[in-house]
Amino acid sequence: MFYDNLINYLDLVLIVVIPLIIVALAGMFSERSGVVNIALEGIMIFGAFIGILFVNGKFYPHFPEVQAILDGGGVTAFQRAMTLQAEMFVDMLGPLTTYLLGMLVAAISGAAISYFHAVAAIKMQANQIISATAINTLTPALALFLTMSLGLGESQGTDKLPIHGSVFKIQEIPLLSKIPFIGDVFFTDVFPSLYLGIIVLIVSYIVLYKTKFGLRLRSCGENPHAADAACINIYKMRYAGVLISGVLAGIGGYFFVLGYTLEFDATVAGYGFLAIAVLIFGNWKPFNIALAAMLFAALLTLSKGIAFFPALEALNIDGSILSMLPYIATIIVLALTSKNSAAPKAEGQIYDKGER
Amino acid sequence: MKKISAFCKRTLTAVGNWFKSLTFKKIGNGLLKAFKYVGRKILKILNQPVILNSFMAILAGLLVGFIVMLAVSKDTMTGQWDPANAWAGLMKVITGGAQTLQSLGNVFFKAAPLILVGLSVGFAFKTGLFNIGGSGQFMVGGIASLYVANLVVMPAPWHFILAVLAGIVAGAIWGFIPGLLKAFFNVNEVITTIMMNYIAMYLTYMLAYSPLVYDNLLTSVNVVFPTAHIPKWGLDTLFPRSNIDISILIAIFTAVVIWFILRKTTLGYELKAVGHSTEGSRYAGINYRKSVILSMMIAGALAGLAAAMNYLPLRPDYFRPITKINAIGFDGISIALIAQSNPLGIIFSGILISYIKQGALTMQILGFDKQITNIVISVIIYMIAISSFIGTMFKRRREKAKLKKLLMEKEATSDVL
Repeated sequence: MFYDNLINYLDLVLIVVIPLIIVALAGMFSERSGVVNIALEGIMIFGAFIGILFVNGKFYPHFPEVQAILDGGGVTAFQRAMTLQAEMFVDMLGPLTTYLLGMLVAAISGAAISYFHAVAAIKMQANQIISATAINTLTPALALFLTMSLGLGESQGTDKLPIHGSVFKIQEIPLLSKIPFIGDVFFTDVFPSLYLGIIVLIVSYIVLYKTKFGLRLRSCGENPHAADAACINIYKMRYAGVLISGVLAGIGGYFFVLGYTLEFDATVAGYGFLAIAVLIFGNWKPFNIALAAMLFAALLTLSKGIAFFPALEALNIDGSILSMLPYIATIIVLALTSKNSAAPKAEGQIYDKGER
Repeated sequence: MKKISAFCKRTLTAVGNWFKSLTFKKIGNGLLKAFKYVGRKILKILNQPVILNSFMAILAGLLVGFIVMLAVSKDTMTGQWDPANAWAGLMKVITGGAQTLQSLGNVFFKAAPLILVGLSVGFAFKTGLFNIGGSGQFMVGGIASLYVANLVVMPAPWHFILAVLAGIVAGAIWGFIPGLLKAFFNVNEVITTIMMNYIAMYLTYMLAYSPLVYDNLLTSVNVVFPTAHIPKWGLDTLFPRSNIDISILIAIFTAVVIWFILRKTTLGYELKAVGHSTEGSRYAGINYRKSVILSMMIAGALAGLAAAMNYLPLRPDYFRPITKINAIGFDGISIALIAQSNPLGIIFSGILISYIKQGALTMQILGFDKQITNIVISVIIYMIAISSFIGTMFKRRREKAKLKKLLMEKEATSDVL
């Protein structure tokens, strides 16, 4: 009994931890290049929105069966037709392909929206926090507006997108799932995002520390003038940093929403901001970020996962207080770690070639 | 701009001359001088690049909003794509707020909390802090004033004042924590205020659901507390059938007070100095920690006051327990940015945003979602962020063109020679 509960709880943690890692890495690429990106939340929302639309088959013409139901008319028919459209779309491509294509779409849309931040922050020399705030305001409004005006919601007149996440779960991986405990947690009934997230983590580490590109990127965030003197194009590197950040944040939002909820109403519950806290706590280093994300995820899932721990549940703590915990913990952690933080030195500074 | 100023000068002189032609020549002369003085002042304000930037940003915001509407605009009956509908929608956004005295009254009514939240963000901006926590301070302030309004029994004016004070104090506490962390641990206030927003959201969710104040029928916090409502002072006879009350007067008064503090007092000078240069102000003997904490507390208090103005009126916003962050803090950011954090400018930008929002409400019958206001607001924020660069870009281009012209002329003359 306790074993099952523990497995369930860890599954829940994994669903949260992977997006957190990916989005915190997104923030890392941007900040390491010297651009503060608090638009992660907005980019996540946009990536998730477009990705979910793709997975629901909204970009694909209606299947004949779906069209037949729609022609029949009626309010309930719409909802039925849309569910059918999503199911048939997934059947047509196969779950894994759909999932990966959706990820690609989310990545592209994330990059597209982050480009606005890049232009403002790098070329237009704007205040990076203000332009990011604009994006954070824009994307949820745009998502809700489009859902309402184009009738993309689960039924007419709602601004919520339906999410059929569970079809994308991998039931079990042969052989590996037979390993006791590890097999149960990591290789049965998991989202492909688990493996993709680990790949992203490792690749990020390699890119940042083992390639010429990574070295140049980091130098832009530490001392852009010196980097410029070494013939590195600061503007180009920063664009690259922000766009990679957009790609990863878009993917992160997509993974998060598919795993976390059944309805998408243009919110990712502040995980974009939490990812920034994870980034700071993880000291701007990939594997530290992963560890920090695990700690945060364990806290974040506490209010949802407390049902799995009868002993804790018996204490009868209010759900709201449990939900508050991760945010309080973030503040405390930030207060304690701020003294020895290794933030990129030129973070948030506008780079002007003509300066000095 | 030059053409406009020339035109203004001409009309002003004409008006003055008209007065001069009256028999009271001396009065006419005096009035001419006064007119010229006022006109020059207004022109001076209008000629600032800041104002021009804000106007351009607002225009750009409306333009993008229009394009988005154009893309999705549908005939309400047939469902066919219909660009005329988008134009009608835009007209509704632009004129909807001033259609009747009632809607105009409601614009002022809704503007009060917006102005105050804008002041909260703007005050923090002026002192070098970025207060994204307006929403959290607002929610906490709101629940505090509602608790006092619902649970305390008191005679009329005092009950109202106490409820407002409760909101102010709660907001100030919510601003105090990020200020403390910034002052003593050097934690970036952007992250902490965002975290405080989420804590406030869950806290107010819990408190609003409490049986002490929750009303099952309304599915919100109880709103019937006759002695704590905001008085109207007869303003509703001025704008019949609207919800207007003295909250707009309180907001304007507060803006003037904040302007006075920032411009004319030592305290304001110190707070601004800290925002301008931490090290410099330390060198000048200003207590850096005290200043940071104080500015965040004042910012929080203003957001709390905004909440009291939002939740205490006779027909208030309902305080529903939902796990969603109130978006007003972000409206406050755009309001402060449009006015470049000038407290007196915030009065106007607050009314403007309220006006657009009211227009968007009337637009809903054409099948557009009211989220269009947030799209417009975000574009305005973005445009203001990049406006100074665009301004310098145009300036440079003008200078270049001038230089080119000069060179050409020189070449032309040298050819002749």
